[in-house]
Amino acid sequence: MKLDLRIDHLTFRAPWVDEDADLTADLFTKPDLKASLSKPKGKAAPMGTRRRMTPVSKMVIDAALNDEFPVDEMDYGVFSSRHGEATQKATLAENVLYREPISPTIFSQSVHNTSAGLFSIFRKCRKPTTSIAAGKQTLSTALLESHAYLADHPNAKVMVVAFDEMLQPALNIDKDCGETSATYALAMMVSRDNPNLSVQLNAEGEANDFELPETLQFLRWWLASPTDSLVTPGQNSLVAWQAV
Amino acid sequence: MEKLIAEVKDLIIETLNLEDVSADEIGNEDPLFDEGLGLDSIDALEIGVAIKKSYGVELKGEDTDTHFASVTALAQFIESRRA
Repeated sequence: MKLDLRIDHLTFRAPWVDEDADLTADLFTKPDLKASLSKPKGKAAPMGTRRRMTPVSKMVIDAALNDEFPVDEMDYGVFSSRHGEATQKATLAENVLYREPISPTIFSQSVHNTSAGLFSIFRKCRKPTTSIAAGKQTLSTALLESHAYLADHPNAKVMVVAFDEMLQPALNIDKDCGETSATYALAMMVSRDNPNLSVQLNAEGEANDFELPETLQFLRWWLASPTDSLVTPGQNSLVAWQAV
Repeated sequence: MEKLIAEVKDLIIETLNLEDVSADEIGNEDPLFDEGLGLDSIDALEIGVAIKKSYGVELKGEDTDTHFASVTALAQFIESRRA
């Protein structure tokens, strides 16, 4: 299946990227994913709620709710994350294992759609949103979801927020497969007219490399103004990305 | 009791991630909710969990309004239960 889409207004936040840095391919050449150059702030969140938010939720809010990103234009929101609030879940599991009392704050912020829920609450936004996890193919699946929505609503704009969090070593089960987990949040607006990106699902060939998560591989490639296609590994096949 | 009161203030600040509040700013008799520190019911649950972890004292459907009235009231409750 081939998805022809237009992507605009890419906004990126990550603790290993200076908040004021220009979004260029250089950021992804040899990223120090453990660097701590900026701290998620969650500035758009009310103070009483902000102190309860997880770092990853704050980062999502920073990426989607800021002066650069035209969030008011969205008709549908897709929040995609491979691991979601994995750190919170690990803490809960540990509490249960050791029969410790469970923090209500951690419990309330532990579900996969925590960020989607907080976004809709802060924005008082009643527009539909969904939350997706699809393994190595989480970004391309978010674009598939966007494509499906745009097929029914050709003039709509879909906000895709792709985010994740560096996993604790005990949870990083994919490390043996070569993929490094990382903390980041990317917001972008997806529409159908004048496509600038073509994504071929179930592609054939050979993947370029799969050291970084799909979103970061895509960004590194996209920001380099590519003429060649990018091939990333999917769950059972490959995904081919082509700038149009 | 003064030592316990200071501990309770630190516990509240740390547990609730009150980054902009110092222990000196919390009066011993200040109300914790509404017009005082501005805490809410989730904060009360969170403090209850922290007290159990730190002091082994559990609140079970007791007169929570009284115990959570101020830092002093909370410290007195902990002191009475762990004695």
